[in-house]
Amino acid sequence: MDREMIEKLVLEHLKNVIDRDDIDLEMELLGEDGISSIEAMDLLSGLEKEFNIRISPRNLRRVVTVEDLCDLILEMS
Amino acid sequence: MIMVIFAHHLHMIDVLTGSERLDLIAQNLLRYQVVPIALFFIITGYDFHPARSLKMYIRRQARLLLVPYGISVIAAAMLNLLTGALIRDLYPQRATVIIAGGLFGCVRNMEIFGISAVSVIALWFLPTMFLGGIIFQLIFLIKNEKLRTVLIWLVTITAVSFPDVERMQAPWFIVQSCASLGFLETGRLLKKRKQLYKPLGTVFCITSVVLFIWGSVFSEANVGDNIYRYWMLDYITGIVVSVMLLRAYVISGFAEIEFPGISFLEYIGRYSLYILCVHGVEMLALPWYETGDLRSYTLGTAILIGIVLYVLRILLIVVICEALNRLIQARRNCLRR
Repeated sequence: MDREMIEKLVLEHLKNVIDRDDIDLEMELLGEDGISSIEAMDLLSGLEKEFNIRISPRNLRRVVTVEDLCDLILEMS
Repeated sequence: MIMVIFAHHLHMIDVLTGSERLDLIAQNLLRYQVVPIALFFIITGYDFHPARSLKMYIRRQARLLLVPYGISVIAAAMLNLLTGALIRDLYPQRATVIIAGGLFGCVRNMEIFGISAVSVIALWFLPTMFLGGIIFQLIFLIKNEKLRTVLIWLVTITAVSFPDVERMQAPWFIVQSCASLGFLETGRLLKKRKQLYKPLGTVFCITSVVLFIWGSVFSEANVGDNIYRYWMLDYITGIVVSVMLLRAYVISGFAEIEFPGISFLEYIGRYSLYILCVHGVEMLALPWYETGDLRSYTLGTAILIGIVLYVLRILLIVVICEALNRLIQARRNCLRR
C-alpha cells in the first residue's frame, strides 16, 4: 500500500472517530485540538483492523502528529 | 479495570459465602477503595487541555461517555428482564427499576417519589467523568490561576464533606463529579510539572506506603459512595499512592517489557471504557447471585469457585467487548462505503 493511500485511510478513520472536518496531517493527535485518549484507542483499533497490523504502546512513543502515525503504519505494513 | 472487577467480584463471593467465611478478607481488601478510582481520574487529568469550544467539548464527551452509559442502562434493563424471565418469571418491574436508577443516577438503591430505583453500580463512573470534566473545563474559563486552584479545592473539599450516599443521594452523581476535581487537577499538574519523570523522594514514598497501610487497616473510603472516614486524609492518601504507583510504572519500564499475556492486558487497558460498560451491564443483568449459596462448601472450595468464576467473568466480558468492537468497526466501514 502506498503512502498516499495510507494517509487517505488514516484521515478517514480519524474523521469517523472525532466527527470533524478540520483535520489534516499536521494535526497533533493528543494536542490541544487533538483527540482524547479514549478516541485515540478507538482510532488505533480501527487502523489495526484496516491495515492488519498491531500497534503497541511502545510504537506510539514517537507518534505526535497524524503524519507520524502514517509513517508508523507505512513502516509496519 | 481488572482491580475494579476484582473488587466487585470479591464482594459477590463474600455475599455468596456468607459473612462468617471470607468476610474478614473481603472487608479488609475492600474497605479502602480510593486508589483505583483516583488513578482513573488522575490519568484523565493528565490528558486534560482546556477546550477551545465548550459546546464542542460537551458534544464529544456526551458521545463518548453518555451514549455508552444510556445504551448500557437500557441493555442492562432488557437483559435483566430476559434473564429474570428465563430463571424465574417475567417481571417487568426489574427493568423499570434499572431505568429509574440510570435516569436518576443511583449509586445506592433508593425510592424516588414512590418509584423504586436500583444502583447502576459500576456505571456511575461514566456520567461522573462527563460531569466532572465539564465542571473542570468551566473552572478553566477563569484566567486567574490562584482563584482557579482555590475554587477546585474548595469544590473538592465541599464534595468530600457531603454526607455519604447512604444518608443523602444527590442526582446525577453531582457530588462524585465535584469530588473528582482534585484528582483531575493532580493529573494536570503531574503533566505540567513533568513530575512523573522526576524522583519523588524517599520521604514521599515512605509516607505514601504508611498512609496506604494505615488507610487499609483503619479507614474506610469509597469515591462512588462518597465515604471518607478520615475526610481529606483519605482523599490525599488516594492521591499520593496513585502518584507513587504511576511513578513506579514509569521507572519500572513495564510498558517496554514483553511477557506472556501482555497483549491481553493491553487489550483490557485499551478497551477499558467498553469493558467497564460490559461489566456494568453484566453486573446488573446476569443472575450471578443465583450461582448458589457457597456456605455449604469448605472455605478452599469456595475460594476455588470464586477464582474460576472470576476468570470466566473476565473472559466473558472480553469476548462480549471484542464482539461489540467488531460490530462498531463493521458499522463504520459500512458508513464509509
